[in-house]
Amino acid sequence: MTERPSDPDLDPSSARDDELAALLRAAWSPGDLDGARNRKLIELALEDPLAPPTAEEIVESERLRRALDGEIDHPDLALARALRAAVHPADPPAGRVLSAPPAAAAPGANVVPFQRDRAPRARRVYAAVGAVAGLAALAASVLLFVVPAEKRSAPSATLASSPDLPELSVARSTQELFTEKFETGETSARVDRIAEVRARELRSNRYALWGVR
Amino acid sequence: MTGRATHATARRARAVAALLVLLSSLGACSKGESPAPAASACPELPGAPVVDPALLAFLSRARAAHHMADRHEEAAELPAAIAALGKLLAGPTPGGDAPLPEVREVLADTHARLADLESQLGQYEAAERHVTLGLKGATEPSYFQGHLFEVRGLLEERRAKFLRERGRPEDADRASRAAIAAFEQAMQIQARVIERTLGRDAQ
Repeated sequence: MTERPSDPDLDPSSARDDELAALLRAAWSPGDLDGARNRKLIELALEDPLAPPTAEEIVESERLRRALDGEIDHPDLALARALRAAVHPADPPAGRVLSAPPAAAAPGANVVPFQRDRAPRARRVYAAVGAVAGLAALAASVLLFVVPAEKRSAPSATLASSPDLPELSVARSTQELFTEKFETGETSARVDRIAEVRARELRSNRYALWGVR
Repeated sequence: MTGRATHATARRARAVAALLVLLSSLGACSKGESPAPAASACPELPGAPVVDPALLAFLSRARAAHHMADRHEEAAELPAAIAALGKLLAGPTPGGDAPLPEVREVLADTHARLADLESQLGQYEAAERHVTLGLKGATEPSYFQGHLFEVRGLLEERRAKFLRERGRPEDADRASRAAIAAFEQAMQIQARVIERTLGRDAQ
């Protein structure tokens, strides 16, 4: 009989493999969603993002404001500060910069003197991201202004009529999707059909614009 | 590099990136120099709008609202079903004041369903308002238009039954006649749609 390997990474019956197998099964053949959870997801999806804040939201926002002012603690305080620092990075306060090497260094140790002017790593990363974004925007501008228009596809139906551009599906009546008069109680099925057909057409339009056929 | 210099560099990079993105989007909307993006993004461009993500977002929203209403109807919670569909009517629509054909038709079908639900609750005036609003979006002979007249017939039937049970026979007869007229109109519309479909198939 083969001995079970002692290394957990090699053990086919390990809990991690079971978990992975469960995830793969769920991805391949997802089961039904719990009814209550499904209703909650739908309600969240239909929630109006422009609706006035609820009383709970007002209370929480006031708590976060007080936390940012240093009056109280808040579980999201660190995240809020990090986001604020990302948008408005500030110079380090005076007194936090060391002017001398640490006194506890051992004799002969390879001590690197602390550099007074070293910028925080986060700020260097932020500057790099900004530079990359700028380059990406420059590349997009070059594509739009330099590359000839007829070599790129356009989603407008008037341009789609040009022989050089792909034919795209346009918004139109859905009457052609139905061959019989409507029955009361089947509205959902009709809306489902309209949404499915138009979703296929949107994908088709995208592929056409990308030149993938 | 000092902290202040790094901060200034990051600010300059941000400003340049924002300026370039602005120039890109201005160029994308110009008529002569570059191809136009979706007409829904640059509505000043001529031509029929294409099927785009905004339309799909509306249809997805409509789908969710109607399925929510299904669940509420199954639980015999008709007011909740009406509220779910009402959110769809009150929400944004692609095309704004000139909605796309798909949007008009889905909204017309939604009004028809709301009319049916309201009449089940005895709210006949509200039901009739929904039929009227739905017909504003279904102006051409179609199954959508025919269905709205059918629903009008149904609500008048229910109204007639309600009035007869309350000892108002003349009002009940009037509602019955209105129901018959609505059903006849629905049949005429359906017949025209069938003839048009058969004529198209024969070509």
